[in-house]
Amino acid sequence: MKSAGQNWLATTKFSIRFRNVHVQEFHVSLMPLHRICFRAIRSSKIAVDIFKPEGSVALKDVSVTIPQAANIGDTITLQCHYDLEGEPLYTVKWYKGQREFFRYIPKELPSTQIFPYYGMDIDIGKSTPNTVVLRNVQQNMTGKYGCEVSTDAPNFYTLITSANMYIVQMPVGDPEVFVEKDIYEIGYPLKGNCSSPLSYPAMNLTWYLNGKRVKESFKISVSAPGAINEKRKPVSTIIGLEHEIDASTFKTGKAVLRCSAEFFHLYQRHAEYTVEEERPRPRPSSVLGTRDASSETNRMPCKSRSK
Amino acid sequence: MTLVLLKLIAPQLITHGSVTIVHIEVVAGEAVYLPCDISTQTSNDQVALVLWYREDLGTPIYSVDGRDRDFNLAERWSDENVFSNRAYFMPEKQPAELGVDHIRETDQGVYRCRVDFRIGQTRNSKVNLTVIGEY
Repeated sequence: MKSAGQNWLATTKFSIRFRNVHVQEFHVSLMPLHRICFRAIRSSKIAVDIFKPEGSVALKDVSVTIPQAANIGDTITLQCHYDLEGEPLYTVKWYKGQREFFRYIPKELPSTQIFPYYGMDIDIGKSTPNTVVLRNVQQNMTGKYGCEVSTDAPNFYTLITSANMYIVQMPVGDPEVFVEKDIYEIGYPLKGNCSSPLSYPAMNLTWYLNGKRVKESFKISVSAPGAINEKRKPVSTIIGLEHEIDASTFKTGKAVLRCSAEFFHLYQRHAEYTVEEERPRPRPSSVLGTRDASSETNRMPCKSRSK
Repeated sequence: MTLVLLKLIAPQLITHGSVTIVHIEVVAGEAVYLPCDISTQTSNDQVALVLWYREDLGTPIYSVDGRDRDFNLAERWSDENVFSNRAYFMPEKQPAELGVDHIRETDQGVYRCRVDFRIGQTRNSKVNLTVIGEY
């Protein structure tokens, strides 16, 4: 079969008689760009060879639909889509990491097979050539899931596609913002930090100052005190801020600092803190009251606000 | 040259996750033996199919199909555009090996061996083959 070349797909034979009227009409369904060749094999017989287009791979578009994040105890459907382009299917294999946990071989009975994986509960009744259903998922179901599709002999075209799934620990509460002080003068750095509630995996925090993104000065993950699960322990993300204040920071005398927290599509919260510009102090009137000489020498020169 | 020969005798074995990667260096023109463990986990199991892939290709470059017969009588096939008749599978070796004669510089690359068993889990292993040109 292989000797017919890599692009050979199938051959069909037909009988045709011309003079004694009977001419067989036949239909061949072809995929786009497929090529056919006619060969006379006996006086009244022809063979039709069907070829795939040059340079094409028969199996294509293997893709997986896997939830990026799910909660402990959820039922999850892993989907694998593929286009065999007319090739016969040999097998669909599912891997978690490098370990095969499910396979489908249509030629075998039973056609589906499960390989035990610690903590994995497959609903075999709901699993199909394209889907695997995982029941009551636990945190160790976090990982990379791959679907490998192979067509049958002679070509054994094979494609594998993977995606990550996290079994999450949902955060409870809001992020919190701390700043060094409430009132700032131009030229002074705005210092602070923002911490997220505990989650697994770590969530993303982003600074915004007056609605504009500001880069964090540091980013760390801190695990919960007394966390037992070493590998997948819940963590709090902390980001720092050290932003030089300039004339544009305080347009209305105030600036709004926002820390935005995002955890997949499951959680989106923010914390805000308003800081103020140090206002020019009213010039002490020489007419009213008495001057306090000591406070005068300690006072920093006030900058005039220019608009 | 001595160094190269030493590497041929003792290929580096590194495990990434649970896929074994063996690094092998060979001088162009020599023969190389690509290991692929086909041993079964249980005594009642049997190898059904061995597929060798080159990582940049979606089709196997060598196959040993024993799905509907005894594995010793399995049907062997080698891609004409890759190893062609230079390759021969040796299932009796421990571990089994794909021998390839007259290695060319274009043979350099990462090869994956997939072993499908009748009962057991599929086993994947990789060989990173470096071909040193003749100077």
